[in-house]
Amino acid sequence: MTDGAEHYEAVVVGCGPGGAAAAARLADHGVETLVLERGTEAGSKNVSGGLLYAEDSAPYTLEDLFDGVREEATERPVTDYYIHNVAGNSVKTYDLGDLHEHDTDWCDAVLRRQLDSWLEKRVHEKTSEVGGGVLTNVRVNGLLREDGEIVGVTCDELDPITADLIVAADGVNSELARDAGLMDWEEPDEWFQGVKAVVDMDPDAIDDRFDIGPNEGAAHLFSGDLFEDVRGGGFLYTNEDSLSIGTVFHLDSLVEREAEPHELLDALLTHPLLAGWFKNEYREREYAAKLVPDSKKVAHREPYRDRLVLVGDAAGQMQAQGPIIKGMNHAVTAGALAADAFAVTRGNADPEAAGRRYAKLLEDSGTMDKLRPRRYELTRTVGEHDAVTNAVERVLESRLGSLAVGNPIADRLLQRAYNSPFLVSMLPDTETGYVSLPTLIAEEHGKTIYWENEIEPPTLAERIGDLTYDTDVGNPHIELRDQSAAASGAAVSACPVSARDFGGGCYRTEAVKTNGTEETLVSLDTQPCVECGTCAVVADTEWEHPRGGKGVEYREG
Amino acid sequence: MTTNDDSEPEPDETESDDGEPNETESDDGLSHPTRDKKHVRALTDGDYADMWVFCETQGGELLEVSKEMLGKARALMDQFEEDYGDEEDVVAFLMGDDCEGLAEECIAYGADVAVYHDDERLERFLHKPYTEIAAHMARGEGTVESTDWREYDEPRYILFPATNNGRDLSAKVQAELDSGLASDCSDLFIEENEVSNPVKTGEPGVKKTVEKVLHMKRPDFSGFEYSTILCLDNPDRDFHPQGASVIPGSFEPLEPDSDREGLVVEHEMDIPDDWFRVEITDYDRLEAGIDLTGHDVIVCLGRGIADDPTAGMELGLDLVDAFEDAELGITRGIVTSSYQFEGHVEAYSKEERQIGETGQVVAPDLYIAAGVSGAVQHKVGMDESDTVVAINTDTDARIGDFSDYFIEGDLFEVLPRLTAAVEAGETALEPEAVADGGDDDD
Amino acid sequence: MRSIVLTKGVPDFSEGAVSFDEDGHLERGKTPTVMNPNDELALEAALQTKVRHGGHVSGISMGPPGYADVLQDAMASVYTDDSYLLSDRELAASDTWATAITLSAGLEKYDEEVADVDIVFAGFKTADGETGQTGPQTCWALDWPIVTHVVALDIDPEERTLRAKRLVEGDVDEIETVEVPLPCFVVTDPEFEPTYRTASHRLTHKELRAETEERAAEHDDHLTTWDHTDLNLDPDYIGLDGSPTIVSSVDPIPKASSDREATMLDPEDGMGEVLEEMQPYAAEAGE
Ligand SMILES: Cc1cc2nc3c(=O)[nH]c(=O)nc-3n(C[C@H](O)[C@H](O)[C@H](O)COP(=O)(O)OP(=O)(O)OC[C@H]3O[C@@H](n4cnc5c(N)ncnc54)[C@H](O)[C@@H]3O)c2cc1C
Ligand SMILES: Cc1cc2nc3c(=O)[nH]c(=O)nc-3n(C[C@H](O)[C@H](O)[C@H](O)COP(=O)(O)OP(=O)(O)OC[C@H]3O[C@@H](n4cnc5c(N)ncnc54)[C@H](O)[C@@H]3O)c2cc1C
Ligand code: SF4
Repeated sequence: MTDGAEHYEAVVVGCGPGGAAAAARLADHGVETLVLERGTEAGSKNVSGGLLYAEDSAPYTLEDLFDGVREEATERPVTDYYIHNVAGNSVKTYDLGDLHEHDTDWCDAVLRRQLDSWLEKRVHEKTSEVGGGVLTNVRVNGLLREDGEIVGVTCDELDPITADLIVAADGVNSELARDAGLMDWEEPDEWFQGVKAVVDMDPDAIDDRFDIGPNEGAAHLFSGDLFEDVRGGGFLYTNEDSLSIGTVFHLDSLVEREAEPHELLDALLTHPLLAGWFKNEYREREYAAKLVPDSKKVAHREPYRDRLVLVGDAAGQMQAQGPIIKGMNHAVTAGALAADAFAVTRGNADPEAAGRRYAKLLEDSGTMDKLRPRRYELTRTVGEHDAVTNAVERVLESRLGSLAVGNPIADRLLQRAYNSPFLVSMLPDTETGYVSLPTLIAEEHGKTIYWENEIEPPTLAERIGDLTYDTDVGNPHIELRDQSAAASGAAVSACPVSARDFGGGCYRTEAVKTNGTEETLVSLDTQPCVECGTCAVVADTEWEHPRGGKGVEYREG
Repeated sequence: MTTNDDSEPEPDETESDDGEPNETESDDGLSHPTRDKKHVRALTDGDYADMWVFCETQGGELLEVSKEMLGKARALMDQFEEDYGDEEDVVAFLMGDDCEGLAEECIAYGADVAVYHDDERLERFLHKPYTEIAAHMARGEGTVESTDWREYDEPRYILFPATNNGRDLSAKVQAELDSGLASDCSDLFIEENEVSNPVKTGEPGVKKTVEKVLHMKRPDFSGFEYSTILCLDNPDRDFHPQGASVIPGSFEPLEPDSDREGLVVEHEMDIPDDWFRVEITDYDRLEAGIDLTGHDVIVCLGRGIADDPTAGMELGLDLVDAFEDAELGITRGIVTSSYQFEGHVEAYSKEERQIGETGQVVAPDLYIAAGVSGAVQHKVGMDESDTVVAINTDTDARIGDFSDYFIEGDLFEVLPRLTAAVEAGETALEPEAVADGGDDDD
Repeated sequence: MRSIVLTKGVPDFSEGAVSFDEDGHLERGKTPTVMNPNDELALEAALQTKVRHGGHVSGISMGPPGYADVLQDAMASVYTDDSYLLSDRELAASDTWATAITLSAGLEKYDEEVADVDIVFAGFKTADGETGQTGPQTCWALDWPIVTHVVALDIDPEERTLRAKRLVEGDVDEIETVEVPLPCFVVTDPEFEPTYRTASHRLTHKELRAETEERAAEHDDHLTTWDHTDLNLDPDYIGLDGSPTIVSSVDPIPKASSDREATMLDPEDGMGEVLEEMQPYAAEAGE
């Protein structure tokens, strides 16, 4: 079956930051590398909130690998950093500058279409010098095996390809990681869902309204009660001539509350706090969504099998602790380390030599400890335990609790606590960290905001209508295995482009009469799908990505 | 591909934007042009008569468009006789491996003469032999027995179907006969024409009236304009037959009449093997699919049928049946629903009937949308319709923004009433009276 | 493989570019000229041949000197190695017959003086004329075997044959597989899609595409212009003089109005108007 197949020394699947870093580094080592990307251009499928970190402690940053990336492909550097705790119209703001600067060499806001397409060109230049290159519009649909051992990849668009090293840098919904049995799509509590709007704004208006210079940028985080008690928070980052505004929620919490992601985003957009920035002007360029892995729970400690290594989101290497979201930088590190591992084990007869070496490099470089902090593993067992959480909640709600948080010393302590990477990494993932505490802080310390926010975000139908799709007509990429509301009903609200009482999204429920009895069934139309991956986890589906170049095309990301 | 300065009334583009080289060029009377001459086959002052119709076949049957052209040709030549007093014929011509029976069928569909050529190698269309045979037929070459029914040099008019093969053949045959062609016509009529174009009249500033000109109307410029094309003789070079290819569905066929009299002629000619350099090794029929375009009326159903999907579908189909030429379309909302349709209507709930951005784009005279909300992706599939009627319970539904009539009501009540009224419509001119007319009684 | 592709300039009918006068007639002067969109597929087909089997691709066009830009566009937007323009005043206002004669003369000259041609590629209809005739007629003048409406193709360089899948329209559409000896003439269908099933072919494709813009920037160095004397054509048989057909009139096609004002009707009493609209389409009674 592998006879006559084309062979490359290395095949990298996905050209996001992880894939780009791996490929660039492989090319540096002179390895013949083929990169396969399913989008029409790298970045056309990708979403991030947008802060790309370069950590002092990291073995690699994107700039180490791609000279000029900051000048040519990123947006504004973050120079101001705040968190806003919200309770109704009351807001308490802390400066998070210290936390932000801890271990940070630089940090730029990015838009993924712009960034990734730039990286793609550089990667193609580098890899074509060693006999490979980047191919877009190609979707890898599985692993090629020989006698049960992974030896290559199969694609929708190309004949099978064999390789000595296969790098799965195919993101959060990695089909390859699942094919290899290294990751699964089972538990909602292992994932976040990120939803984001890119909002048009004139550069001068940005400078003016955020009180920054042309080469400065602001980052604002939001937590508290503006999200219907769903665990998670919001962000706003400044780009050159737009804002990235979004939300990141625990998927289990979204499902549990049956919250509508687009409404949560709208709650943030229409909060009075944002009125001063919008000045009642709002033009949304793009609505986007994507799952985000929670490295604390899913970062794989041995992300390899045979010749296959996983890097970035595919391996769950996305660090979200407290308000910090760091995925792109770790994907870069992991990609480069995987390449280095292959370079030293090249020619080794053992197909897993590179994988083992890569896992060791992740450990030795301290990357794995950032992704899966031991402290967290210890606190979690108690912190997230229901009984304990409930007890903490009760204390917070009691007069004593508010008193404790409300006293002026507490205010200073709180600011310091938020700025301590150590404390932040210990915040348990319960409502306490995300909702109760911030709400309480705002109630006790907050200023009331009297601005009127009169903007009207687009409806879901308009948002879908504004997106660009190349629909693979007659070839749906997701199939519902179980139409019952019990199995798949959660997707109706959790899907970012579906909603209850909205017929134009992917998922909806229908009351169907069969022989007199009425039954509620779920139906699916994949055409408005933005390929976020949510329903792969919360509904009973057969989930694949669309074929190369098909499906949604992000222009901003 | 190339050209179509034929569709361009103003003389040329070259004149305006080129410079010197041409000045010297025109003095160059010394070249010895030869290459093109070998292709010139035109006559001067030839005799022309009859309207020829190429009848394309598929799998041993006449294509629908072949019958439509015969019907149109019949009407045109009957009118011709009335206008000019000369009786000229409709001549069907066709080829294949066994088409005598089809030739007879052509007579039934309105031809006076049907010329056919049989050869087992001609079962499927091939450019070279089909072109050579057609030209040979048109020129009246061949045995005496097969040509003594006619006394002219070449046909006056010639029609081809604007199908992939028919269009190719029209281009090659007209080139071989050294004449012109208007392709993809949707209307034809014969009339005199006053010409002033000096190339055609021979002298600038003089107008000349030409009789019996076939006027060929066709959508042009990517569908932005209609052009009327004429194929006219030059003073010293005849351009006959005047040729057109005809868009399928443009005309109505006649009711076949097997008693019609006509002459069936077998054409004879030697066909060298050398003409079969292109070999057809295989062919497959594509899924027939449903074509929602080209109908007078489309009735489109949306998720408004949710309360009883099967009944809703039936009501839509009833209304379709009440029209002469209508089809049923559906929204994407129906395609992807989990409605449990009963067997007899289930086939209507499939993607092949979807209208919109990712379905078919239709532009009927009348578009009736029942229980359709009017999403943008649906709109782009029907917005060019002449008259749009919406039936919806929700007056805020977006479809209202692009409807001519908005019937505020439940489709389960409105559809049957429309159907009854349309069905009864023939007898009663006053629609109001129809709505409560006799039908309910029986 | 040596391929040559016929291309033509057409008014840019895309929204925003195209301009119509008050009577709804196309304003050529105000509408930019672009490469005929269907020709892009012919170019893709030629490029596929080059990617798979190596060789050379030339673009050829007949038209005013301004069409050099169209050939440049063809070079930049898909791929050609060089360009040939058949242009002079005598060729102006040709209809398809005259165009076919001129192009076939150009192709014969190329075949005799530049290099033996294996395949001539042409696109389907033009966006302005939409006749679909030029390919078949040019081929008729050459008397080469022809395959039209090609949706996919493959070449066997050893056997010197081309295998193609072509779309046949009928009451039911069909896909035909045909085999033709080289040299031959290929007209691509609007449904044509190049196929590259191996990574190395795709990389070669990408590499060739990457070269095009640079080369196109120096287009004059790759352009050869021939006039009617070079082609040995008699002015009486080309251009307007050699054209059988003329356009007698052009009428704008009325577009359904897109801003409609809905008349609200109550089914209880107000459906008369709608029924009046419907009656003309009613089936004959008694069916
Ligand atoms: C709303 C939101 C906010 C975020 N905010 C931040 C932030 O502020 N900072 C930060 O660092 N991180 C942030 N992240 C996380 C960050 O986006 C990811 O961690 C990062 O993109 C992971 O990079 P990657 O290279 O592993 O995968 P991706 O960037 O997802 O790249 C995967 C690539 O593989 C391709 N691909 C997938 N499957 C196939 C296939 N089968 N065949 C071929 N190609 C395939 C995809 O098209 C894509 O190009 C955020 C994420 C979201 C959703
Ligand atoms: C990329 C993409 C491509 C798409 N392509 C297409 C496409 O090609 N074609 C298409 O149609 N859609 C398409 N869609 C889907 C489109 O957005 C809509 O979801 C769909 O058209 C809605 O179908 P609907 O009008 O039947 O349903 P709904 O939007 O649910 O509307 C039902 C309507 O019925 C009315 N109604 C309910 N009960 C009754 C009653 N008893 N009597 C009368 N009225 C009643 C309601 O008021 C409502 O207006 C596409 C979407 C995307 C994202
Ligand atoms: S259908 Fe599934 S993958 Fe697509 S947008 Fe909705 S939840 Fe995300």
